[in-house]
Amino acid sequence: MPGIGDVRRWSPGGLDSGAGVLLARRTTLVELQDELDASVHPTQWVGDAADAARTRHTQMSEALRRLVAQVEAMRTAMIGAADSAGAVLQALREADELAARYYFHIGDDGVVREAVPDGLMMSEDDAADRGRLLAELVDRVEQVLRTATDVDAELARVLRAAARDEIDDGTGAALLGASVAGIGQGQDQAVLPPPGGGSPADNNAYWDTLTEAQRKDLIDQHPELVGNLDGIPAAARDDANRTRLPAEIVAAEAELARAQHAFDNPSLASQFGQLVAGDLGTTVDDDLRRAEEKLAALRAVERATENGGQLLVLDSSGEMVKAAVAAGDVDTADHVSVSVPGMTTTVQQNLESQVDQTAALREQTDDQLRAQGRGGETVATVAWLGYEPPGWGSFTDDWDITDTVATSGQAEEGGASLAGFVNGVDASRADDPHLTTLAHSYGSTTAGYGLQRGTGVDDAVFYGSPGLGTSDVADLGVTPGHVYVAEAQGDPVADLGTFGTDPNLLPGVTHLSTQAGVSPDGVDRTASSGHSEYTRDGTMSQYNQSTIVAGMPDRVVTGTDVGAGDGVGLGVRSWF
Amino acid sequence: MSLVAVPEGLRAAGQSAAGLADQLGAVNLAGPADALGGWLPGGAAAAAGDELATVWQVRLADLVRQVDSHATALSGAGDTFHGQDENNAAGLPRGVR
Repeated sequence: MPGIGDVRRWSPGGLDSGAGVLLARRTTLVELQDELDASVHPTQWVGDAADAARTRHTQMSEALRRLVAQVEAMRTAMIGAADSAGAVLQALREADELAARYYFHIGDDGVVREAVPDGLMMSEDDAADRGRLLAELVDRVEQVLRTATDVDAELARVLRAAARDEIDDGTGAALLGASVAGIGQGQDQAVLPPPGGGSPADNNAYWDTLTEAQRKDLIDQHPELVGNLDGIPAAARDDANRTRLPAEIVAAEAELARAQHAFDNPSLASQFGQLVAGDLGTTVDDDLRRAEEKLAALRAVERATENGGQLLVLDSSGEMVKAAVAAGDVDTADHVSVSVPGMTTTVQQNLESQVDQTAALREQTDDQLRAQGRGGETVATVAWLGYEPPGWGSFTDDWDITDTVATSGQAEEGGASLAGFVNGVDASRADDPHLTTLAHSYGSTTAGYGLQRGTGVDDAVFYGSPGLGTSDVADLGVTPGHVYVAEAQGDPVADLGTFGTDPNLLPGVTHLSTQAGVSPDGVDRTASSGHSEYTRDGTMSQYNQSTIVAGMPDRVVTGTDVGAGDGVGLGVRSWF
Repeated sequence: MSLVAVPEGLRAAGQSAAGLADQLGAVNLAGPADALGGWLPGGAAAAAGDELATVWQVRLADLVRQVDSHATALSGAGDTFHGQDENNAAGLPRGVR
């Protein structure tokens, strides 16, 4: 297994030149076809000696064919190895550069060591960044070695097969045919799959070590491995998810047809003793409903992305379909926001409106940037429905409080997914985009849990929040002064404090206005009221969100909007 | 059947085989496999390259020997045919025809 020191000495150019030499050798061998044909004895010669000569010639021909196939297989494998070695070396060079920038050094033994010059003083932020970076560098080294080992093993596989005379020379007698047979056997058998359970940095480092051809193969042949992989570029995720979507819809249609058939033919189910259709103890009614919802969700994804946007999450596993769609280019935007909706949100019912809202937010943010002479900066806004928020039904169906909005389970689980997603955006970029989370209702609890896992989020906005999963803003890991809270008049949810102290009452948050008024850009803005108007076009709330997404905190309109719950110190633990 | 065609055809095939053996003997297949350790050091491919270089040298040398032997056999058969024909001619007085 090669080490980092070995990889540093890898020579893709040498491999390419070796492949060139093999091409010349293979051409020489194939051009011997005329001499080989001419060395067959005359057909008029018959008898035992002639038979022996024929057998010998066939053996020679076969040996030469096998040699040609082996040379071609090795040549093909070396070309692949040269490409892959180049990608691995590039990934290692990038890791070396990143390490040097933050005063680390990656040794030939693969160990990442401190290399801080004597007397260098660092800010707390830089020190915190270095902690995260150290983990990222370790991940990058791991992936470089993982792919390097695969590249080496793949070439070794072909060479061993050639040495053992296991390269098939195909059919026919022509030397050129043997050469063609050798090509297929020298090609990579399969692209190395992503690391299982890898961090976004792992995944990004893995992606960096692949050649363009390997990436394309992976997207074409295994889009399910790429589409939801946090840490790889948004364009690749979008390609993979769009590749998958039609097949997902076809599968969902078939699933619905089966469920409908079972529903329409209860005798089929009763033949098996009960109205139980699945392994999970679900009824045919449940199966039919789920199949309908799944197909509706996938069709909603199709509609939401038919006019563009980046499809960054497409996950039909679990109880609900998950999806995320970006307006703008997440790979290049200077400012990236991720909007997290709350309870009862589903892809089938809400994705399109969420996409519309984030697209409107992007336009508003662009407007604000232009108004401040920063029109060259770009924005991408993501509608992230990447978790399974609770709905009312899950409580009222079975009166089981453990799956209602009042519990934190789905927020904690969703928070882990969200953290992976936003860290993936960070890891997929060579630069450091300005990253904002905008979270509503139960989504703010989800975002709260997500941020507590450690992210590179620069600004966090919570609106209509029943709590952040903590009563200490510092737990969110966002730079002090960059956590914002908004509460509209008549929003009872924002006063609940169900998941930690009511965010309005937390020290260290900035209160955003949701009232009507004239914003600093001279535009009349309307008020938001109730629980569901925070993102409405033309509101002060939307304006405030756009200024934060744009990285213009000095342009926000602050407020002291509080609800009735805040006034009386209402510590509601349940709101059913 | 032309009795002349067989010995001449055998000699021609033998010459082609001899040429084939010469050209095969001049091919250096082992070079790139042998050099692999310098281009991709530290792993299994380098060792596999060394092994393949040795195997190819042996395999090619065997093939050259086979082809050479074939060339010799064909040419020898052609000569034998020709010599036999001359002997036969010498044993048969022209007047008999």
